[in-house]
Amino acid sequence: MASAGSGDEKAAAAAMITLISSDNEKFEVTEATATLSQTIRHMIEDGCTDGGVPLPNVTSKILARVIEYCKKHATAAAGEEGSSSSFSDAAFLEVDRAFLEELEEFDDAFLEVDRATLFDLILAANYLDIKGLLNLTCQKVADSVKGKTPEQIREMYNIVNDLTPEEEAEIRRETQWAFE
Amino acid sequence: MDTDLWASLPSDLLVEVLRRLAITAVVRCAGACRPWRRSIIGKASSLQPSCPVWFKQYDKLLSSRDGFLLLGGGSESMASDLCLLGAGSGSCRSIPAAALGAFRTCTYTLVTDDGGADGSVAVWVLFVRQEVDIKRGLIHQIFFSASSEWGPVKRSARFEKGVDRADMRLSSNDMVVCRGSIYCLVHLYGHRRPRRPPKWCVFAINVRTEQTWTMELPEKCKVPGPYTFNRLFLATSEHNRLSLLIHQVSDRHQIEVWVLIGDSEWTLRRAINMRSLIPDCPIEGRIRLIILGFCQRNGCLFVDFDHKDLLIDINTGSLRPTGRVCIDRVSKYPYEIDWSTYLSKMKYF
Repeated sequence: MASAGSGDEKAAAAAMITLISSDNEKFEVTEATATLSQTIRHMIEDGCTDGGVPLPNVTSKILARVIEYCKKHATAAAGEEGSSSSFSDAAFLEVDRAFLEELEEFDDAFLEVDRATLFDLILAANYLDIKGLLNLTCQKVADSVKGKTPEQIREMYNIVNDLTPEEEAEIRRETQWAFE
Repeated sequence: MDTDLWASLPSDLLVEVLRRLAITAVVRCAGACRPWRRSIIGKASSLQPSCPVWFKQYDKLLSSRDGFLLLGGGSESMASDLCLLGAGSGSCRSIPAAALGAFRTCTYTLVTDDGGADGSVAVWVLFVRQEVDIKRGLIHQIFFSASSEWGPVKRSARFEKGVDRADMRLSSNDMVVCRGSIYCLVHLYGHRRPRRPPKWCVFAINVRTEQTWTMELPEKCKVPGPYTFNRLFLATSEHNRLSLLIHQVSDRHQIEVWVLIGDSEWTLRRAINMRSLIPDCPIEGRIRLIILGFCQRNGCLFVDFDHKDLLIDINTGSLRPTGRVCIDRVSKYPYEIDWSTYLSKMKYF
């Protein structure tokens, strides 16, 4: 079983996909990495990835980060598949746990980006349909907003206050409980 | 960073972020800028807050009002603590059950005030013991959030003399809260000798003063017969006044809306002729029209008309579109202001 599994992985690893960013930079990635994106997975299934996959909505800077994320999580997915056959094995579970911890650390470090990059990552995750990345980035924004007043939110995300003082007063009146 | 970058976040993605947050945080975001506010109002229905795990411990909703929920611990443990949950603020506090709360036949009703200058909202809980015959008065007890205590158990004054038996509907949906008082309909059965026909009255209790009183129904209204529970409703509507809805079944299927002016004076505000309101309704002959449920707050009636569900807004006397709600009993139409309604009431700037 195990040898057959790793054989498949090798076959998957052999298939390389070229992703092309909006600024025309090319990235070679394995199919396992690329297919974390549902959008690309569908393109591969439809057989229209020859000559590269153009991603006109994603800059090279952001695509590089997205690929970094996908590489890490693709290995994680492969690891899970490998260990599932001997789930009861304590040693395997221990390895799994260590790996998951490592993955969490990776995610935390991955999110250490400025707000503009975070914004672009959300858009890219949505466009490429990468559930894990969308989860991660949206949770990051949600956590940062928690317990903040509208003024603090505006300041943090550099949002211009386009509400008139009268409108602001009205908002406060109707939702006083939310501003306590 | 562009100044309008985050304000330009597409609605769907903003929802993706906000659905991870409590209501308070979402409402604050709605105060950050116009685009976010518009997205939030527009996507209100996708922003239902999720149900927290501990909710399962308190699986019985006893009453709800203005974003507060009073939860009980299911049928097995009515005597145990209750949970008062502020869905808005995310606050959660445990309050003891009422002194007689161990009995299953009781009703809890939440009352809130408009909130003080500091934004805090006072909450009262009215406990009413459900009895088969309440002619000697209603046993009740009031909890006040500021004192965190239940007041003394009290019995209201006896219903009028000569009454043989009195009963009332005591589901939480029959207790109507209006301007700090709770109202419900009481059915009074007369003496056998000299025989008097049964009649209805309105029982009221003010949670601040703990004063109780009763009111007659409008003199001029023809009250439906004794076994017509689903033809008489109390509701709050129009400038937060108490209103009484009467479904006159006769041939015309008329719904009368009486509004309480002052302390005891009812005026007929509107008589809605259902035959002319409902499109494609035959002008003559029998029609089947049953009131399935109603919204205390805005007086909307859910009506089954020849197996079609309709929602009638009694404030305007108009039909409102409603999706098919697969519900077979009145009790399945509880109405309180919910999250989407709340958001839809927010002003669109």
